[in-house]
Amino acid sequence: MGSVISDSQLAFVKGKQILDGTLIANEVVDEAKRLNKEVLLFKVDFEKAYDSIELLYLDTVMAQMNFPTLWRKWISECVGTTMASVLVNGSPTKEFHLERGLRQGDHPSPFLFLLAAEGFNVLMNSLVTANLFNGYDVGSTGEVKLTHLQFADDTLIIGKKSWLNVRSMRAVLLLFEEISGLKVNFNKSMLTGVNIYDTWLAEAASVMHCRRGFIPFVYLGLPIGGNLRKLSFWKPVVDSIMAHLSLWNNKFLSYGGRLILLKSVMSSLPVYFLSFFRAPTCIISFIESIFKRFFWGGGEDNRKIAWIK
Amino acid sequence: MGVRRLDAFNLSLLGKRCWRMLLDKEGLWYRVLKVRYGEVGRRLQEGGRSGSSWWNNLCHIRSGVGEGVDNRFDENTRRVVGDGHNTLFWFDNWVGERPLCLQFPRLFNLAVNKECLVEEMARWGWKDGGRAWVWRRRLFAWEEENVRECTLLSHNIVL
Repeated sequence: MGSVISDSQLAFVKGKQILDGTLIANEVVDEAKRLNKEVLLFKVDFEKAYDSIELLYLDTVMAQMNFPTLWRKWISECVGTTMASVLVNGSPTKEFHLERGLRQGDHPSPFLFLLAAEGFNVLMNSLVTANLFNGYDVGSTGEVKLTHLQFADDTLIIGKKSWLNVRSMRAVLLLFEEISGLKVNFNKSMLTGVNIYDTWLAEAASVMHCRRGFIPFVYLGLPIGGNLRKLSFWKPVVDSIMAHLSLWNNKFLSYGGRLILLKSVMSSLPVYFLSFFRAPTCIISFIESIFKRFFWGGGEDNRKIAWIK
Repeated sequence: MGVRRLDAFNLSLLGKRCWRMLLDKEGLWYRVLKVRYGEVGRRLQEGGRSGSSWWNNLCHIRSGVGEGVDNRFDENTRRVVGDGHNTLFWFDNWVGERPLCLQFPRLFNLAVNKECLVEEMARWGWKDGGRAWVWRRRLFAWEEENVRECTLLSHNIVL
């Protein structure tokens, strides 16, 4: 699997992690900020990604990757013979064939989706070789050039600031929709930039028919380009813990129940954040103090005595 | 009472990233870091003032700043030498207690080829007067003594 999937895809391949994508995006934004480079970032939102893949396209991609014919037959047998029927007023209609869409929860589906997304990678690369798109150079040597990152259907396009880039981004996404059936939701996609004037960005966003985003933005569930030391950076974590607290009116739980809730639910809420960012001491002690107050039965504002540490 | 300690947990999760830095040198993320911060002796350099705060945090964890020990991560990981094709002679912690560049800083400074592999050194011969030792100048007597000590360390290693 790893041999046919390119480096820019980070999902479902052995030895790659979701945090690698966050890391790269974070470093790019940070470097651009520090060295005053101009970067254009476009976060793509695909509409119902799994359900809209054209099966014929998937088969073509596999043929291009030199998968054996027999194997391709098996796969198209697996995904292409689905029948569905719709309940109309309580009575099922006649069954009909599905022409697109991988089924969610099916075991090979994620991998087939990767193969389909690889087509986007090929498109981007051909744009770069045709000089229609300028990627972002990390460092000064130009050794590593980034154009896009993909985590399944979560795609981030990275490029230099130019009208050419904006136009070819839109073109490539429309083209990709045409061939694969994956429709880009331009209204929910987001264009943002580092060291780019607001007016330019707003104009580019209106050309793309998309929203304009701000740094820090969220990619793969983590904020990119924020300041770790700011309290607002950690607000999502604290908020999610608080939300769980207010749902569970802790008056009705025993000490044991509260302990189990604390151990199994609350302490795993911040794990994803902590697996990438180093939390400042004050944030850690703040979260722990919330835990303690919850356990010993205090509410939002009243405290109770902690009997043991 | 078995509730997770967030601070230690945070440290260990980021320690995993340090570990991946040793293993996954081909990954795109590693190449990005390498281009940005540079690499000496297969070890990514610290960013200093121009590094991102995320990277500076990670470097602190790797070197154990604020824990009272130096180079915590490097000192507590070891390489087991197979055929010596992947192990750096001076930088990796493969013989004795510490990397050779820390055990014999003087010799390391004088060595011409600092990024050589263990395998190369063995091929060129590191026994007394072997061709593996190339220095920038003639060694003093006490430095010769150092070399002898160093060869003693690696003396019973068979690749």
